[in-house]
Formats: sequence, structure tokens, C-alpha cells
Amino acid sequence: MVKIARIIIVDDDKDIVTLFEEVLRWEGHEIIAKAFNGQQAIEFFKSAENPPDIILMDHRMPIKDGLSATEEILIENSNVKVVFVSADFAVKETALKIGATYFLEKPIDFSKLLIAIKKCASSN
Amino acid sequence: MLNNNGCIENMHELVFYSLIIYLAIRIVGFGVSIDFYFSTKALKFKTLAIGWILWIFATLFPIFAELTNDINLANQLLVINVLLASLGALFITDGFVRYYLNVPLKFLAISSAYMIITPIIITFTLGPIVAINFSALTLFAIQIAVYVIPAVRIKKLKQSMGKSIRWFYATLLSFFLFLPVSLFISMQGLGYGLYDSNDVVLIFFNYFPPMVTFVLFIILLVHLEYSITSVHKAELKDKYSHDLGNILQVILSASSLTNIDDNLSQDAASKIELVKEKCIVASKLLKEIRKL
Repeated sequence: MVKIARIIIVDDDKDIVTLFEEVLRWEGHEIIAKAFNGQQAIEFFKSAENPPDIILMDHRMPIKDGLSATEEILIENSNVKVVFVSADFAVKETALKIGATYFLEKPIDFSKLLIAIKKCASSN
Repeated sequence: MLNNNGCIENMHELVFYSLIIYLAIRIVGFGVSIDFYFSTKALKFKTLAIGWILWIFATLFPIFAELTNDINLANQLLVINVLLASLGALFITDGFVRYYLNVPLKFLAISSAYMIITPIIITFTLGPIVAINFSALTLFAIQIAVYVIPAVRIKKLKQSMGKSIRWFYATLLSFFLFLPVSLFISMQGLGYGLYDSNDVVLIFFNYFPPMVTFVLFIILLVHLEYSITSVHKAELKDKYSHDLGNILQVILSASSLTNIDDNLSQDAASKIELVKEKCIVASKLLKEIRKL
């Protein structure tokens, strides 16, 4: 049985956010917030009553990028799992170094995304 | 220095050959600047190219002065020589400073007008030697500015230079060797360019450090442009591959979600599978592009 996870989706591409949301809801997960840049993600994270289990994080975004946002979020709460879903393969090493749990390179098949979510949810 | 009759007496061979080398280096400098201008249309290369052209003409005038027996004409040619040299230095400095500072064109226009009109007035009122000294002094002031401006804006300079800063420091260092020589020549009352001097050591130190400086400056320009172009290309590659990745992600995700629908006909489902397959092929191509 799939463990239900509370997720924040962060991506500046609204279509991607919508599609990820649809598939994750279909899988039974709870989307607690959608952010379109790193700064919004931090604000949602800080204002959430119950912190999310997982954050799906893009990297190249306006205002604040995914790496900076992840660093700030993990300082705030190191238990949250950050899964990078980005087309910037060059930042993979840095993302994992600063504490991201997985790095998935766009474009990814939903099956890979769901496996990563499942692993994160189980470890929580 | 002009002789008692006001004209150059037998230019030393070393001076003549130094001028020829100057000419060759400056032609290369002009070629490099004009090439960069045509490929970038940047104003800095326009002023750099004008600077080199002025310097090319500046090199020719003492040679012309050597060829003429007309004292007045020789005087005028030497005034034009130092005037063009100082004006060229102004344009070259302006062009280079534009890498890290926004200089209003008005400043360049006013300075140029001042540097052209004043020596002309001085020539007709106080004589050509005073005019030559005036322009030589202006040139010296520009040389000092070459050190002062970067020192004041060191942070911006370092940002814009990147790894090319090493070539910039090398250029400044070689040019620094020339400054005391330039000052010594002026203090000794020797004429600009040492066109009638026989002091081989002084001639060597007057011409050799600027030659090295010109060459290093051209290398700096090429290195800088190559670095800027490379960084720009890498940024564009990252941006386009990122955007393409996002587009492919949307297509792949939308196809996957449509395929979940149980009511979908077999024909439609197979077509969606085809779209997904092509997305995977495109994503592999994208990975190859990222490696470039």
C-alpha cells in the first residue's frame, strides 16, 4: 500500500505544476501548496501548520532558485525530503550535496517520479 | 626634440624601426577591434577601432616629418602626431573602460574637442613646441587615468574581466615600466617620441614597454571576448535545454495522464505511446546537447 505524502510542488512552469498535481492526487497524495518560485516555496513552508513530507523542487526559477530555496528550507527543517525535478543537470551534484534526497532530470516519466515519492514517503 | 631650426635631424634607426613595429601592432589592434565590432556591434569596439586608427596615423606623421625639408610643415606634422597619439589614447581608454563602466558619449565628445582645439590654438599663439608639450601632458594624464579608473572601480572591473584579469594586470605592469621613462623624457626637456635623440637606451625604454603593452592589450581583448562569448554560449545552451526540458516534460506528463483514461480507444492509446517514445528520444538528444 502506498503511503500518503503531503507535498509542495515548486516549479515556475504552471503546466508542469498542474500535471504533477493531477498525477500525484490521482496516486492519493495530498498537495498542500503550489509555488512558482523559490521564495514562494519558503513562505509556504514557513507558514504551513504541519510541515510537508516532500517538496518537489525545480531549480531555474525567477526571484529565488531551487538550490537557494532548498538550503533555507533544510536549515528550517532538516526532516523534509526535497526531490529535485529539474532540467538543469549541471546542479545535480550541488543539489545532493546541500541535502536533496533525489535529483530527477526533466523530462521524467511519471513512474520514476512516483517511485521517488514512494521511497521518500516510506523513509518518513 | 626639434632642432634650432624646428625640424627633426636624422631620426635614429631604432626610432624609425620602432615606429614601423608600432604601425604593425596598431594595424593588428585595429583589425581585432573592427572584427569584434562587426560581430557584436558594441560601442566599445567602435571607440577602440577609432583609437587604433588614430594611433596608426599618429605613427605615420613623424615619418612624414622626417621626409620633408619644410620646417613649418615638419612642425605641423609633429603637432598632429602627438595630438593623434593623445586622442587615440583617449578613445582606446574609453573603449576599454566601457567593459565595466557606462561612460556618457558626451564625455568623449567634449574631451576630444578640447584635445583637438587647444593644441591648434596653442600652435598658432605660442608655437608648435608648446602645443606638442601640451598634448604630451594630456597623454600623460590619460596614462595616469588608466591606473586610477580601475582602482576606483575594482569590483566591477573584476566582475567584467573574469579570468582575463591576469592579462589586464600584465598589460598594466608592462605599461607601468613606461611611465617613469615618459616622465624622465618630459623632465629632461626632450621632445615627445625622441625623434631626434641618439640615446639608444632611452629610445629603447621609450618604445619597448609600450610595444609589449600594445601586444598584451590585444591579447587581453581577444581573451576577454573569447571568455565572454563562451560564457554567453554556455548560458544560452543551459537556458534553451532547460526550456526544452520543461516542454518535453509537459508533453510526456500530458501523454501519460491521457493514457490513464480507460475509455481511450486502442488507436488513440498507441498514438499517445508514440508521442511518449518520441519524447524519450528527444530527452536523450537533449542530454547530448547539454554535454556540448
